[in-house]
Amino acid sequence: MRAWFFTEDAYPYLPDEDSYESIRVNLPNKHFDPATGADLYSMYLDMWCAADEMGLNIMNNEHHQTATCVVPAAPIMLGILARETKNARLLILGNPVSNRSQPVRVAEEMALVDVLSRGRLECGFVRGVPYEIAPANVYPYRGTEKLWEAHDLITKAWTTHDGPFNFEGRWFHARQVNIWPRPYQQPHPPVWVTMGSAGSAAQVAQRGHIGAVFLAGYPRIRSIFDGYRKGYLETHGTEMPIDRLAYCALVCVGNTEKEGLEGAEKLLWYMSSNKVPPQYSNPPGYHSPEMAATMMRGSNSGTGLPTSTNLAEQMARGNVFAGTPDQVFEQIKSFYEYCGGFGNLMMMSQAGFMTFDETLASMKLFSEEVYPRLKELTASYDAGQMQEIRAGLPNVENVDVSTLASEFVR
Amino acid sequence: MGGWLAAELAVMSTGRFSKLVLVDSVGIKPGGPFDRDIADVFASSAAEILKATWHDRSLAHSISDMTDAELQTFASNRIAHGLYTWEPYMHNPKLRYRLHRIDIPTLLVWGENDGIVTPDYGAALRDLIPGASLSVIPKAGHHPHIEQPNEFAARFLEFASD
Repeated sequence: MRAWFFTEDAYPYLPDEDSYESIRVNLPNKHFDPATGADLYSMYLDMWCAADEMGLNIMNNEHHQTATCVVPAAPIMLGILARETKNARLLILGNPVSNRSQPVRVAEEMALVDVLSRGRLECGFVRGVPYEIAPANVYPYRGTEKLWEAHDLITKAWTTHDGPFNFEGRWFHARQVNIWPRPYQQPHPPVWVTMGSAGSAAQVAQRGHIGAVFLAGYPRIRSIFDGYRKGYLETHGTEMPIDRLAYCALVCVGNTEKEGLEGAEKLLWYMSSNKVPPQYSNPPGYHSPEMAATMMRGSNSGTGLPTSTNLAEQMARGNVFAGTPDQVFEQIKSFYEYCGGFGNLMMMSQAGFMTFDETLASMKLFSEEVYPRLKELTASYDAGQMQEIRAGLPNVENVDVSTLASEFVR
Repeated sequence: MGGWLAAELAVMSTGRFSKLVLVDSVGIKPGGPFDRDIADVFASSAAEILKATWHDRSLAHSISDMTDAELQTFASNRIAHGLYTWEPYMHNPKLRYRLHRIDIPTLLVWGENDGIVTPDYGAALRDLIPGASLSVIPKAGHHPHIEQPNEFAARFLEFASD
């Protein structure tokens, strides 16, 4: 198991939630104090460096026009970390390539980070959440197709070393592509792609990339990971190596159960702060007509689509792992066995008002008390044995589609 | 979008048209880059769109009255709407420079309370079409033919029979 330290770099010092319509897209940036922001960036960079020193890997991401994540250019943070860290693998999850007009620029940025870090980059591509559509002003229809076309162009740019090529796709066009530098890792950095259904998982599996899932929890994880395993086997003719799957949850480890749960309550800011009105969560073309209609029905009832921020419920769903080291290990192991195993745990370990010291204490306990056991767990992974264990665990009841839409928070 | 489409047809050729009536049409950008000439319906709440579209909001279709199938059709239409109008938003930058080609009698009918495109927008459109006149109907929003059908029909027929 490889563990990835992750924080979204929130700017949590906001006015009363009732005073604004949305934390995304239209929250005026007068609420962002640059001096406070500078302190926050410094703290987040220090956290990532501390994670590196603890032997954890690093994951970062980007969002736009939102206080939930004040890094609108993840490659810039990654460039700093390439220089400031020594050992950690550096995962960006990811580049929102469906919303970026220049995939070649993405290929260049990623190659640069890979060389700066001497080959420590892991490069993720994402479609991006619906509230990214307004800031990007890119029509989201067929966004998944755009993602894969950008992916094809970027990987071609990374792996072409004998002069320019042209690219004339359905969505992107580029002339005389011949990037300098080329990546440090050969043939190119490991690629990650997010997935949210069996269908999208199969597309990632066919290409052999690492498939990452955010907060799908017990209700959905089996169908997604099963879709990946099936797609991998069909395409490559062998069982999927366990390092091909990744799961992201909120993680807090305490010396006592109380300490772990109190930290986890602070992490839930990530969900509770995500106030987004329907016009930003349901732009035309992002969701299927069926999903869009379901979401419209929900918003029209006047009830909105609240994400449950009840800690016990989120822990039961497998979205939060929290407590003592023993408890956290057992929670992760249970989830791991339920879904058939995964080789990467992405840990949102800081959110909202959780302090530097609180975050580091939790991550130190994780890296010393939990991480070694997780590494043993995956070292002994056997696909056949795992399927036997899994078969003995009944399916957790599915949730309805409107709830899924509301939990679309990454 | 229907008025926009009619204008696009008319600037190509008026050979098969005798007269042109445009109702609360989009399609041009009268202002500068920082002017929001057309309400941004893709970034507006349902309540804001309701307010911008209707003088009498009780005439609007309510989502709660639609069947699931109707709502999915509505959602599909919304996808098509976005596909046609996303960028440039609700206009063709070239259209304003072609409207001078329209050489048939043209009437612009506008709802006085239209908040999607206001009567000022209608006046800008009128000024770009040779000889066009603008007729503003009170107590109507973006759909004057639905909100004031009798008044709309009277003005339409007067223009058509002239």
